[in-house]
Amino acid sequence: MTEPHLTEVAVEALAHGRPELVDAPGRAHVARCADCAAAVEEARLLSEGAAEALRAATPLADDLDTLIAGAMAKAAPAAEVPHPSRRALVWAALAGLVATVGLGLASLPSMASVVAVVKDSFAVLGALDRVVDVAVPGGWTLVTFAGFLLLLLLAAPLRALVRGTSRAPGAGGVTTLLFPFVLLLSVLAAAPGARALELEGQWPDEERAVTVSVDHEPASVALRAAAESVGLGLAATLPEDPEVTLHVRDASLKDVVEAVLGDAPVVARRTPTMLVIRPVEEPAAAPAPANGAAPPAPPAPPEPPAPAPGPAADRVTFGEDVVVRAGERVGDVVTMGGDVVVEGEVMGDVVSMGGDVELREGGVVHGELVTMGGEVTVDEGARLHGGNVGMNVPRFRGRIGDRDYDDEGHGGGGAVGDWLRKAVGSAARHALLFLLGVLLLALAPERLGALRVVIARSPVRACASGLLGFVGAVVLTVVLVITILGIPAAIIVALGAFAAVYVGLVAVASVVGAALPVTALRDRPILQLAAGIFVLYLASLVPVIGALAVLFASALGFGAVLLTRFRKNAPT
Amino acid sequence: MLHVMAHDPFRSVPARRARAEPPEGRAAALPLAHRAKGGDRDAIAALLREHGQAIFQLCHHVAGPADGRDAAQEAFERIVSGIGSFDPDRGAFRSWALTVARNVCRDRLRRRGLERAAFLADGEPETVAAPSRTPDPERAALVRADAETLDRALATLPEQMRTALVLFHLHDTSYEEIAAQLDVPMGTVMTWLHRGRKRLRAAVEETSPKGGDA
Repeated sequence: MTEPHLTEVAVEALAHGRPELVDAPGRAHVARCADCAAAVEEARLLSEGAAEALRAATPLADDLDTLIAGAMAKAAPAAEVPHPSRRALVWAALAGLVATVGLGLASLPSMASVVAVVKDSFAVLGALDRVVDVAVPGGWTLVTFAGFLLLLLLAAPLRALVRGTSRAPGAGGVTTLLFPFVLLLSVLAAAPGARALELEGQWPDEERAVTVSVDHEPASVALRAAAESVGLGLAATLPEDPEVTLHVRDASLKDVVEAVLGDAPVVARRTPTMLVIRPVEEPAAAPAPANGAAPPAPPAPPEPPAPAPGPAADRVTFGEDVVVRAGERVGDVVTMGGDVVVEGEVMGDVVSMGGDVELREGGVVHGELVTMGGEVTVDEGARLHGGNVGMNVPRFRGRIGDRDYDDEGHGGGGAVGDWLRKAVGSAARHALLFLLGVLLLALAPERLGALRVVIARSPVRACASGLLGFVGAVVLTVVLVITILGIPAAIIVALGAFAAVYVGLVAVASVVGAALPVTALRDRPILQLAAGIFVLYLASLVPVIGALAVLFASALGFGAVLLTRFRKNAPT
Repeated sequence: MLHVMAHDPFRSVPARRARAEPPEGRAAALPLAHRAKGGDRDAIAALLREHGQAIFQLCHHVAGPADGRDAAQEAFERIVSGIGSFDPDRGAFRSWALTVARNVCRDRLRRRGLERAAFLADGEPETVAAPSRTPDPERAALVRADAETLDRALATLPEQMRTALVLFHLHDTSYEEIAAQLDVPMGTVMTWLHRGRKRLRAAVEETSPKGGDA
């Protein structure tokens, strides 16, 4: 049997003085095999030749210092931002705080406006709560988890984007990808039914004494018959009282109640003497009299107990109008982007986001009327038992426009007064910007420096990135809001973009201040910041150009934040 | 057999063993590296001056002579801007910087559509056959090649093989360090080197205007 020759690896090792990388048989073989010894020698000579040739053919950089200087100038850490002293930072922060509070108080609108803002904020939250409550099976629990999952799912591509690399999916990657789905499934499995009959009290299974026979009677009638057959009184407050047909013999009361009420949003409690049915939403409602007297009337039954046309289902639409016709009875009405017309009866709330609501004569809404971004019209003869919480379009837009320096005047005072109020309000916002800048100088000077580098080095690129970023943030936010489950992620995106714009504006102001030909500002970052913000403030007061300047500065700063990802080093 | 006995199989070119300490002393470089990581511009510049030629040479051969200078410039910028991600406790600055430079070269090659996929299977190494020629011409063919010929020949090799050759022969990097930098097994590196030289020689002979003329 002939010995195997050396492998390439063994030849390579022996040719380069690494015999310890070759096993003992290999080392013994090369001493006996002329071919392998010659191969080692050949490899050795070839290696010498390759090394010699490479060294001879490799040039030295004759402008190494230039290359290094260029790299340092272009990509060096932002050490150029001088660090202000702690004392200076404290004084600057105090000055910024005083200016912000003072100017803010001076520009405060009337108390009524503040109350309106608070009220509208509650309206927004209330509308969102109702939409989630009605449109999402698991309510806020599911929304929260879904938002978390969305963030997890977004994290992978964002991380890849930030790092600029993609990794082959290994076991860890698969686990990371599967985790959100497993979590989502578990959340969906664990999410309780949004509206289910709840049973309270003692419900003996062995009790089989209910015998009832009713045809096309309201559920309350069937329940009363069932309760009577086991010697109980009935106190029922049913938000909906659909017709039922029930024929049972020797059944348990629990089975009958479950059969009649099904998934109705009510609590059925059995006491030794009574069967009490009450809505889930109103735990304190309908306190049952102890003597088992006749059931109390519902809180606001405006209509006679005329037969209803059908069960009162909810109406939820996206982008479509809802019309509740006369004689029609529905549960909650929720629309996004559609109008609501009520001629019939709404047992629950009417929630409209971005649409008008019209309550016509004869129309009844037992719950609340919550509108956001639409108008409400209530005709004479219509009834609204709950409250009306709303925000109309002009007011909403006016508030958003505050940032664009075109808010509507409040409180009068004439044109000069309005202009003055606007100027003071704008000064308060810029003082707040200064405060933020001082905070950044204290906590993240390197990151601020990286932003300055990008702004000074590639303003056009930063501005274009910022404009694209604006569009992207708006689109992403809208898409996430439309999905409802993405609302938490949308809030995070919107807040993140908002914060990024302000951080970017600080950097822009810092660059503007540094660029001013004032010797006193040199190497004084706080003063540079203050001067830059003052320049921005003055520019913002100019009617048309000011708005453009603010937009340009915002885009520039936002783009710089996007390009640096708010890291310590400016991208190359 | 006489030939074999006369030849000491362990006589070889100077060994490149795994270095416990990099040249010039790692300990001496540590403070500089730490200062550089902390954003000290002088320390960064000093490190670049110390290892700049090695970075430039790697870029010259891996990205190609035409693109080498620009690649080196970009590599310097990436090194400077990414100094925060360098961990002095995990390795020498030189290794990290060369890895950055190699990644820059790969990116540029990819953009030019010139990157080749990993060249050799990491599996069974081949056993050597009998040498086809006498040793001297092997060495002579490469040594005779001018810079342009060698550049063209190098360009025919896959990027990883080219990088391994440059690191081994120009930068005196050990098998172990090359394997760590390229993130491949050491045996693969040794195979690449062994085959790379042969392919380089063959390519030199093919691309040389004088062919194999002595």
